Amino acid sequence: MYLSKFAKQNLLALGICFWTISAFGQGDAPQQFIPSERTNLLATTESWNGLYLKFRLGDRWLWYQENHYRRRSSVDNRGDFIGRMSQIYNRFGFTYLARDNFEITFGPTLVWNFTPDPGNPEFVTSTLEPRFWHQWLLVQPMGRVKLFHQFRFEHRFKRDNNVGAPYNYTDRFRYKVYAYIPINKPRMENHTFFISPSNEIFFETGSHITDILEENRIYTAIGYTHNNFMFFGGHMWTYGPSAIPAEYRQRHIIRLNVMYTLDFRDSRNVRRALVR
Amino acid sequence: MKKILLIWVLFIGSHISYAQYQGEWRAQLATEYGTGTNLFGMGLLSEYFIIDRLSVVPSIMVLLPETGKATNLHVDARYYFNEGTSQLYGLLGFNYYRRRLEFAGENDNLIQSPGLNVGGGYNYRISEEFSLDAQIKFQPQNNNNLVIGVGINYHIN
Repeated sequence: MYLSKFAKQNLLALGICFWTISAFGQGDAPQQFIPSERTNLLATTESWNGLYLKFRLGDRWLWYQENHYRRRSSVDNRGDFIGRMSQIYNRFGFTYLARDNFEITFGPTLVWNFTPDPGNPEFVTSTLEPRFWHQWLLVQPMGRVKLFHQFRFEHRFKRDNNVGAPYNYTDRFRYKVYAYIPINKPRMENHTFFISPSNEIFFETGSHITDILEENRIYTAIGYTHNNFMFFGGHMWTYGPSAIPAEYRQRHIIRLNVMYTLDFRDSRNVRRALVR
Repeated sequence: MKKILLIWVLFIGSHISYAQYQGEWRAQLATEYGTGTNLFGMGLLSEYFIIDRLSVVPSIMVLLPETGKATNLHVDARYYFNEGTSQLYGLLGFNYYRRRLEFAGENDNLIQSPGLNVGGGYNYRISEEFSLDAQIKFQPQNNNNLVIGVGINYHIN
């Protein structure tokens, strides 16, 4: 359609006029806060203590279990590591050993999330957070070092601790790269001191999620293997967005863990041979 | 004659492979749903055979209400009617249902309901180590609640 130069100028003026009216006409609407720069909150501290179990059930199957007792710093002292109860974290799963360098784990998780303000009646003491999770682990041997690529997916039903808060569903996507580096032996075996650096990035999606990036965790553990036990622990630094746009939180976490492995295959075979 | 002997050996063999015997332990990753409570839950179950075919089965189920908390504790006795890949059993036992309400007052925010479990189930052996389990329990003292459960068993020994 042909429009004269005059008509175009009038339409442009009209458009600007409408835009101006509509912009100024929203006086009662909430103003969207647009942050000018990133803000980092002061770091808080936590203490995570974990028991890991791996039971060999069959030639290709394992039982995997994690039980964590997690505490976090007090409301008025962000450096005390253990001031408040934080979480009791229970992860279970069956692992299928598809190849020497590839395994799949799947199962349920049940987390108790404790109140951020103990004694405050506006919060329930703890809430339950059930999840279904599955994990795809690729192992990459590199000389004496073993490098692992862990892709973990969690489907979570989570709520706040406020009384009556609704459950929200989120999907979580995690990628962790970590290594086992033996120090006093040529490879990981019994009585080996080792170091295990890792980095894990978390993404989260859901109808109420505003920032797809949830967190990044850098964790360096040192450990020792003794018969069926592996003792390991270290420091973890986490960094990620808070609920407020452009505001980021960070945590320093001391982790202490023990892993126990057991092979059920022999006992089952011996027992059945005796019975039959 | 050889064929008949072979079939007989395979038949007996299959029964021996998947019998229930005194001293056997099983562990189960279990789920349950109560039609009366309308609550879904998950938990752990263990099973020990005190004599052949008869087992004691304690379990703890964490139920997942929208608000508050709930648990269901069961201690059942199971009798297996047959051996083999497919196993049917009847059960009789005790349950203790506990529900903590989020909005009620301090004096009436806890519901506790002990009662009877009557039911049965089906166990299907999928491998030497694993079996699938489905069961149904009637709880006449818990508002006629019907509990439907499914789980996966690991045969420990």
